[in-house]
Formats: sequence, C-alpha cells, structure tokens
Amino acid sequence: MSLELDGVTITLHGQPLVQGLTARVAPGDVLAVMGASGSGKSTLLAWMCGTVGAPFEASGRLVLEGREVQQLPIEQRRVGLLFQDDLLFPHMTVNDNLLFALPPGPRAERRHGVEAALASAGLEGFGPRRPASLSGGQRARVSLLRAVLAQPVALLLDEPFSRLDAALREHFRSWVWAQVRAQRLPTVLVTHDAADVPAGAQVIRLTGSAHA
Amino acid sequence: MTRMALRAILAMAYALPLLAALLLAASAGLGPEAWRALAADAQVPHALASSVWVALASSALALLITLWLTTALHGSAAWQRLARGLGPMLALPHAAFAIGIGLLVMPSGLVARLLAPVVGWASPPDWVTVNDPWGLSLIFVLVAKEVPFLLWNVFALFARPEVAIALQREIAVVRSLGYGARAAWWRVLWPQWLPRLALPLLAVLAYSLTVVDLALIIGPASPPTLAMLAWQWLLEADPARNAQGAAATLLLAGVLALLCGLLAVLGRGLGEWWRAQVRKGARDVPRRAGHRLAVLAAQCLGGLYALVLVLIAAMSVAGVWTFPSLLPQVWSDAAWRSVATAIGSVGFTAGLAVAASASALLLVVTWLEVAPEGWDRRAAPFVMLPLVVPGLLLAVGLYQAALGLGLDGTRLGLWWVHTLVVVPYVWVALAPAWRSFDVRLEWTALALGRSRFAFWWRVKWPLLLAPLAAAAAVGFAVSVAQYLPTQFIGAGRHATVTTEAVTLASGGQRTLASAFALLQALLPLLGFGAAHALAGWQRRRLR
Repeated sequence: MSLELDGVTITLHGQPLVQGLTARVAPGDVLAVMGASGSGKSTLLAWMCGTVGAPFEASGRLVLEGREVQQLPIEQRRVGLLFQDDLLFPHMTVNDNLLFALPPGPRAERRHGVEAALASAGLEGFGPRRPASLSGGQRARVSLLRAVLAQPVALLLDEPFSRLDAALREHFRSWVWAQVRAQRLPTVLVTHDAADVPAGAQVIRLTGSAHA
Repeated sequence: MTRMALRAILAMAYALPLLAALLLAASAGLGPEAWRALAADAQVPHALASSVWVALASSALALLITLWLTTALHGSAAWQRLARGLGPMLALPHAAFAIGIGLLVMPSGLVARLLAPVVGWASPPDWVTVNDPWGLSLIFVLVAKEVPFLLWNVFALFARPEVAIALQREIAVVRSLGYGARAAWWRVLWPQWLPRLALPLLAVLAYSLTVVDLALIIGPASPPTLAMLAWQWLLEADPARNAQGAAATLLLAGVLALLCGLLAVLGRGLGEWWRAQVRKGARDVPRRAGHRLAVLAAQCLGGLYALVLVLIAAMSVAGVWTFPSLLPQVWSDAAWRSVATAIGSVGFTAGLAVAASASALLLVVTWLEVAPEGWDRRAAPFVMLPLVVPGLLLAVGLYQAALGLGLDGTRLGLWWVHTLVVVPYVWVALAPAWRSFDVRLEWTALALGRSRFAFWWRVKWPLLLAPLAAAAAVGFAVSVAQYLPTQFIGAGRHATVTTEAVTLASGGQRTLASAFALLQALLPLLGFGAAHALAGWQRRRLR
C-alpha cells in the first residue's frame, strides 16, 4: 500500500494555493502538511478526500495502491478520515458506529471484529454506550477505530489532535502513530502544530498563494 | 445526470402548476364582459374601499405593534417568554380564532356579559360588533393573528448568528454615544433590518386584502369586502358571474400590486424624512414605563388566545345560556353528538393533511438533497409564491387547472392542491436545519465506503428527526386550516372541519361552529404535540 501525489495544483480564482506538489508516502509512513490557516493545507486534504468543488480548481493525480482515484467519488476512494471533532454519529451506539463502517460479512464475524477493535483500544464493554457518554479521548479513539474498520488504503488526518487537552493529546498521538504503523497505512496529516508531527515523517510546508 | 433530472422534475412538479395556475387565473378574469359587469355593479366601489381599508389598517397596526413589542422587550426575560408563546399562537387556525373572537365581542358575548352588571343591562346591547360595517372586528382578528406571525419572522431573523452579533454590537455602540435603547432601535436598527421583513409584510398585506374565510365569519356584511363578493360570484352557477368573480379577484391582485408600489414610495419618503430627524442628534429620554406596558400587552395577547380557546370550548357544550349569565344554565352535548355523526369529515381532514404533509415533505427533502445550497436563493421566489400571491387568485387558477385535468371535486385534486399550498411552510421549517447539517458527517460516512442512501437513511434523517417532525406538523396544520382551496377545488363535495366551521359560523350556528372550531384547533395541536414528543425522545436519546 502506498499513496502518491503527482503534480497536484490547486488554484482559487486563478491564484495557486498548491502548485505542482509531488510526494510518495510508503505504507505506515506519515506525510505532514504544515502551514498557517488559509495556506491551503485543508483544501489539499479536501481534494484528496474528493470534497473540493467550486470555486477551487485542481489538477494532478492521487494514486492509492496503484489506482488513480482523483476522479472517483469519495465513497469509492477507500480513505479513512479523521477531523478535529470525532464526528461519531451521535444517535448510534459505539457498536453501531463501528458496524456502520465494517464491510458486510457473517454476523458473528462482524461482532467479533468490533469487539476485538474495542479491546485493542482499551475500550472493552463500551460497545452499547452512546458517544455522548464517552470522554473526549475515548471518542477520539473510537473515531479512529471506525475509520480503520472500513479497511481504508490510506488515512487522511485534519488537525485530529487540536481539540484534545494537552495530557490526552500526547497519549492519543502516540496511539494513532502506533495504529498507523501496525495497519501499515500511508497517512497524510494536516496540522499547524509541529508537535503533532511524528519522528521520521516527511514534512511539506504550504504558505498559501505565496507558495507559488 | 440523474440529479439534474430530479431537479427538473421537482421544479416542474411544483413551479409549473403554480405558474400555470396564475396564468389561468389571469385569463379567466380578463374577459371584457366580466369587467363591464364589474364596473356596473353598484356594490363594487364600496366593497373595494372596505377591502383596502381593512388591509391597510390591519397591516399597519400589526406592523406597529410588532415593532413596538420588539423594541420594548428585546433582550429581556419577557422576550424569551414571548418567543415560547408564539408557536401555540401560530398553531391556532384563523377561522377558529375568529369564531372565538366573535363569541367575545358579539352583543351577547363575554364582553357584554361582563359589562352588564356595571352598566345595568338586562338584555344584550344593540351594538353591531360582529359583521360591523367598518370591519373593525375583522381588523381586530387580523391584527391579533398577524402580530405573532410578524414577531415569529423577527425572531427568525434575529436568531441568525451573524444578525444577533451585529445587533448586540450596534445597540452597544449607539448607547455608548449617549442614546437610549429605544433610540438605538428606531434610529439605527429598524432602518437597517425592516427591509428584511418586506416579504412577510407583503404576505400580511396580501392575506388581509383578499381573506375570505375570516371575512365570512366576522367581516363587514353589507356591503361585504370585495374578496367576499368575488367569492360569492365564483361559487354561483352562472358562468358570467364566475367570470365577474375572477375579474374581481384580478382587480384585487392589481390593487395589491399598486398598494405595494405606493407603500414602497411612501416608505422611501418616510425613510428620507426620518434620516433627517436622526441627523439632528437629539438624545431621547429613557422611559421605563414602556417596558412594563409592552410586557402587559404581550401577556394580553397570550391571554386573548387562551380566552378564545376557553370560549369556543364552553360554547360547544352550552345548551341554554341566557344573558347576562357568565356560565351556561344548561350544558348540552348536542353539538358534539352532531359532530360524532359527521366524524367522517374529521377523518377526511386528518387523512388529507397527513397525505399533503407527507408529499410536501418528500418534495422538499428531495429538493434539499439534490439541489446545491446556492440554488435556494434562486428557488426562493417560486417557493414563496403561494405566500405572497392573494390566496383567492391562486385558488381561482388552481381550480381552472384542476378543471382542465379533470381533478375538480376529487380527492386526488384536493391532495395535489393542498400539497402545493403546504410546500412553502415545510420548506421554511426544514431548510435551515438541512443547510446547517455538518457536511463532515457526510464525508465521514461516505469515506467509510457506505452509499449516499445508507448515509441518509442511517445517519442524516435520524439525526434530523426533530426538524422533520416539526416540518411535518407544520404541513399538517397548514393543510387542516385551508378553506378556499378545499371548498373550491373540492367543489364543495368534501367537508373538512375548517369548511364546516366557516360555513356554520357564517350561518350563525354558534354552538356547532364552536365544536368544529375546537376540532380545527385541536388537530394541529395534536400534530405539534406529537412532533414535540418525538423531539424530546430524540434529545434524551442523544444525551
């Protein structure tokens, strides 16, 4: 598994935000995209998700596992998303959230998959609870579990640590990077905080229109 | 491509019939014979004057009271209480309210009974309060019904985050310059925000100029308003008379357009003059009494609605009720026994309302899902059309359309017309919740590899259950309260609680009319109650 960006250019009203970006992220590796707000880093991530539309214009290729996906709709790209909010579906239990992500299969197998995932995150027995009854750190972990259970071929993280308080953040960060290595997922992280970037990550700095 | 096709189908299903109806209404009323008959009719000048008087007086009063209450109460605890009270006030149908007001002000009504011991009346006074020639009772009913509607629009406008912030800052700035809060409103805020209320104001003016059901219950009788005359002519068997009715309807629409133009010019002139006053920089004297008076007025408004409900409930079970006794001497269930024999009309009302509300919900939700947000602005004039076009004109056009399609007098025709009328209200109730839904939830669900339909069905619609239920209840209430389209497109063949209540009340059968009025008021309340319960259940579930 790998993620490739090839000649990616994104313009807003003719002004380039990202120009000719090319990068390759190996399985389990992290590409950190840094820059101040308005630098276009979130737009780049949105383009990789397939959620960028007018007034932005984009060209270039996004290759996941050797498959060009930049023309595909989001539901066919197989990317796992994590935002600064956990975005768990509040009306579903933790179990239902995870089962929503898990591909179809025999019932017992899916149950077991969900239970194993929860156990791996130290969340045994939390399945029947609603997201609102979990702590912020627990919700963040469930959110990543949900993204991983859908068997993505890459992870896209948009400031996923910024809403957590300092003590939790450190703990959650190392847990996320451990997951990324264990699942061998090529990962793109968008952040403005250098402390978020794990050791050994490639780093790209975006400076908005001045970048050109 | 399927999205484009769906958008086109939706636009055709909704906008096309409405535009066709307006064209048909115009063509029905354009015959020279009809206009000659209209010009020759001796009642018309007085009736037209009466219509214009009622429309202008009631709209102006409703606007002034709304501005005054907002200015005096905004930001206080009473303002929040008023906000909570608006829902039930809006839910009470116009016809039921008018019937209740009739019971209050008629010669043997509650007001006269309360005055009797003081003044020494042994029999009802010979005042003409219901169907009075100046239309004062009609104006009173219209004002009391339109003030909550306008206030609701004010609340909706000021609840928008960007407006709320701007409002707070401007009040602070103006007060820091040494003006009182009242001056901040009249000199800075209203001149800015009043234009944003133009559409609801237009709706109020159009409604009061062409209202038929309220006028039948409580409006001036000889001569009636022009809308009532038009309605009588439209219902006659003679096609020439029908054309005359259509011409009168068209005349009213023209008068509405003329009034709008005149009011716009007048408004601009007033604005110019007012800006000159404001430039003088005179500071105002703060007055505390204004606030207390406004609180009292808001409480009276709420009390009036409660009183109306109590009165129609009491009247519906009154057997013998001699003047000046405050309570009936003999209670009777005769009215409710006759209602029980007409239970079919209650079932038909509810069934029609459920069907119309459901189909309107389907139309609006589909539109909100397949059309990008930016299109809402372009769609808005069409969506709001039924609110600002005179109801009588629309009814005439829709009847012509139904006639052409062979749908007049059928249940299918009624369902179709009710759906068209209900759509704008469902839209207004639903669009804000839909457009403020966190789009990242959609991205997340789709990125998990699930289909858009799975996202709608499992995530979005369940999460939006409360606004969906509220919109359904609004649609239900609007359909229940329809009089003109029901009577006209239904060709008088399908009785609902509203047509029964209006017919009985205009025929002077107060007891039975009160029973139907109470039903007319209760049906929407049931809908809103169910929506409220669902929303509460949803809130507990999400906690």
